[in-house]
Amino acid sequence: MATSPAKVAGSGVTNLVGEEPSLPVPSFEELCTRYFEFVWKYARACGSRSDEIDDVVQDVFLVVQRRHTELRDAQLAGSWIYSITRRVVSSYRRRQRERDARAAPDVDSLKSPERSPLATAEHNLEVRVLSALLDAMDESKREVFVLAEILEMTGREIAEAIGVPMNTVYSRLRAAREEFDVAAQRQRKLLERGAPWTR
Amino acid sequence: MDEMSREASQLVKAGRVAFHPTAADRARLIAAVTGTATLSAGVARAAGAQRSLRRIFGVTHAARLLVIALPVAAAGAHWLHVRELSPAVVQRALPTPPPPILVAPSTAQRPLPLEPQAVEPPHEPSEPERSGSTVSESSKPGNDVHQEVALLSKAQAALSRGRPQEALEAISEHARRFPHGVLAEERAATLVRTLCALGRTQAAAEELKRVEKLNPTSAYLARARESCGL
Repeated sequence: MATSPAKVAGSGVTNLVGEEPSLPVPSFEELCTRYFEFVWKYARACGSRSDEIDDVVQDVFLVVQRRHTELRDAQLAGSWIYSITRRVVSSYRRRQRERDARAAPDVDSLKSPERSPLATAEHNLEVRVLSALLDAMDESKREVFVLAEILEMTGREIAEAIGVPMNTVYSRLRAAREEFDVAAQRQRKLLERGAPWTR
Repeated sequence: MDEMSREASQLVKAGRVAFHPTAADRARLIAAVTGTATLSAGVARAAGAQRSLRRIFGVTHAARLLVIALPVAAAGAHWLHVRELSPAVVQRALPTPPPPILVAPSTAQRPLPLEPQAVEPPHEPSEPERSGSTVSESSKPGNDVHQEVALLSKAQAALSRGRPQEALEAISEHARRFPHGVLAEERAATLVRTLCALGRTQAAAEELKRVEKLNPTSAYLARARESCGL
């Protein structure tokens, strides 16, 4: 699957690691505007439900605002925000598991006025299966998979964001894709046999 | 990199669409987090209507499940191209939510060695399920990050007023309630400065050394080191 930075222009992803060295540290407002979509998409892909996503995003930017003076290099803004996002999302995931072991379906994911009811339902089923498969992944694999496949970041961007060598990114991504692929096909077979879509 | 199967690619494609924020999401949250703009009347009305719907759905949980189960069941049949399956089989196959995944808590950050270490149940929001979608709702007590900020602000204010013992109490409370909090690094730096203010230089140096192992590039800790002259 091609991953072109141009395809994600405006999502905040292309700017994650692309600042020029001489640029001044972005203001808090600039960071909000630039990274909002990145934070939102990452959180949603990592399991933040529609009824808590606003809180997750606001918590991320609350911490960003709180620690803004810590950011001294514009080039590090993306990885810095990613590390905050990752921690906030992980915190929500922990609490969600503790209090909501059997979460109710995410009602808001049903809203798709531009699709037919059948297409909407089909789309929602796919999103549910996707979320379940992502949830089952080891965290280190999930993060590179989400960044590469859902947010369409390049290997270099991912390496700089999470602070690991490119080889490690590709190694984790390859393993994650294999695992996801096997799980997706297994899920399909389970569904064909009429079994509930659990792991 | 290897290509994924059609099934896997289809799921990923669905995720790219589903996890994208709408223009209203963007406007609402950018306004909320920057505080430089107020919610437009239209967005506010939309948000209010959405919350009302959530309340309605929350009350009629069975109706919500029904609303979800029916189209999802239909979609399952379509996705699988299994037209021979009876409705009962499709129904049994689809709407079961995934089981919880248990993960070991992160060991990247240990609770700070503070005293006292009273055992308290972990903090939980007072309501069973947060439905916050606005600034006001997420700012209410029960929001962990807000409480973390409040506790560390209290510690830092006490420190700047020359009351390190008070600061230490607030830091201890933060460590007890949010051992893996998102502001744990800031807490560590504040603790170092507090220990210095209390004259416990050796303890401050040890704490600094311990936390720097976890995050050697922390600007917070660098400043704490400077302020303590360590």
